[in-house]
Amino acid sequence: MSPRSGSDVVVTGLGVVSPIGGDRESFWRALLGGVVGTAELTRFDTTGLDASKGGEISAEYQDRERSMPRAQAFACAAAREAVRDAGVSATTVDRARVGVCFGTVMGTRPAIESWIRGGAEGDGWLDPSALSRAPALEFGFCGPNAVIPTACAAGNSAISYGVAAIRDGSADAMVVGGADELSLAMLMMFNSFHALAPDAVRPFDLHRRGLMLGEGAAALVIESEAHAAARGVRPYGRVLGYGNFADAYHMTAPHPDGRGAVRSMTAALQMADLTPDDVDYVSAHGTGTPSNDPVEASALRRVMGPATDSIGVSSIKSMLGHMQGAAGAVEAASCLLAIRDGIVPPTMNYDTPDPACALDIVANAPRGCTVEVALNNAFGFGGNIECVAFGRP
Amino acid sequence: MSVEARAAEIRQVARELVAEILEVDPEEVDDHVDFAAEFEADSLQRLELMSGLEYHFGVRYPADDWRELTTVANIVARTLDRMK
Repeated sequence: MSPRSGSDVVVTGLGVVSPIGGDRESFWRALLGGVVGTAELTRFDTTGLDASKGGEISAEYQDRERSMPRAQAFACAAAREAVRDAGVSATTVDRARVGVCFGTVMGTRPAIESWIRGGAEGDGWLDPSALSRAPALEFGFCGPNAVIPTACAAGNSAISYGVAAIRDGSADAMVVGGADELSLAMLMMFNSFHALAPDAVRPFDLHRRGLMLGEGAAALVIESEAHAAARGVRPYGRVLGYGNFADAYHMTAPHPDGRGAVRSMTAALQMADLTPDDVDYVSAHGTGTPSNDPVEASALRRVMGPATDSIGVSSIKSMLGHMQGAAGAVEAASCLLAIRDGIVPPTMNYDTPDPACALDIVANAPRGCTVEVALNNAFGFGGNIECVAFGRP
Repeated sequence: MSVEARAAEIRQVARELVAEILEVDPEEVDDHVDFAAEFEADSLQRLELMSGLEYHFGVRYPADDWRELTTVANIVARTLDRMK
């Protein structure tokens, strides 16, 4: 493979709707400030659950013009911000060649379930594909359109789908990302595994107790480098490579040797001809569950070897909670902002190192460092894994 | 600059931007013409208009304002509001 063969797709726009900030820059400021956005949930009766906290977006959040599921409203708002940020206009892009792809865990199901519980008085059927259909409809983007439900890897899956569509010539540009809303179903599922943290999310810490769920969306505008240059826009960075492999091991537990994770990270680096020494930062999946973090840490060490000790690692889930299908996308946005500003966000609530997670954790405060290459990990429940490498423009 | 002078400047810039983005004659863009209804402005063009105004005046509108910037009169009022 030729060097940097993966460097032809750039990121030119970012949009974020998160529990710590409703737009890109307020999200980024809060992230660098270590703002923890998880709190007592207000939209759900958590009686009987092990834990009652999560990363909730204002309960009143909705699209002002249209009635739609929250996840869909989050996706539309993030797409709108990213499209604006990228300076996409009707005169500078061919809308027939701009596509949309969002990843999700639950899609529109929480809204459908609440309609059913309320007597099925909902105003129509909304299938999960609405997550990508609605932004396409709003902007008249007629390019490739898909929703990818690869569990918690879905945000990264959408990014690689978009890169592939641009590389194979199907699209000039893609709006890609992830969106999910909180749901009782997901809270109950993680509760049944005793995976919900009662007080705080502590990724890689010896005393970690589990994850908290979060909600929101993030969107990236990606396009071919030539297309961005022709429009005269300055990219945040490049999508250098990606890898997607499965553990094919267990319904919930990660493969003990990180089978899918090792292959996915390795593939992401290989696609762009990168070596571990090129990597400056890893945005970890880092859920804060007892099972994920040591497997991710040892997988990282297997891939990076001696370079592991000079790579800063953080999990922003310590602040946002686990935004499910949006997690990979919001963490991708964080990687690109880290590349832009030369500073990486912290892992909050990190007090006691766990020898089983021996990494250079960026603990409790952001760290200034030039980020040439950032690796973004997203590990889905059941072993869907997708890793994406980003680099400087 | 007086509020009146500032409003006149915003009005002038808004008309030019609307005419450019929607490819219509600036003469047709009076204060109360609704861009969506009269000129078939779509979502992408309305976002572009909002970005152009922000760039020109160094202001930042709330994310939802793009739905409201539908007439020159609205643009003048909301932009003056953001400049306070």
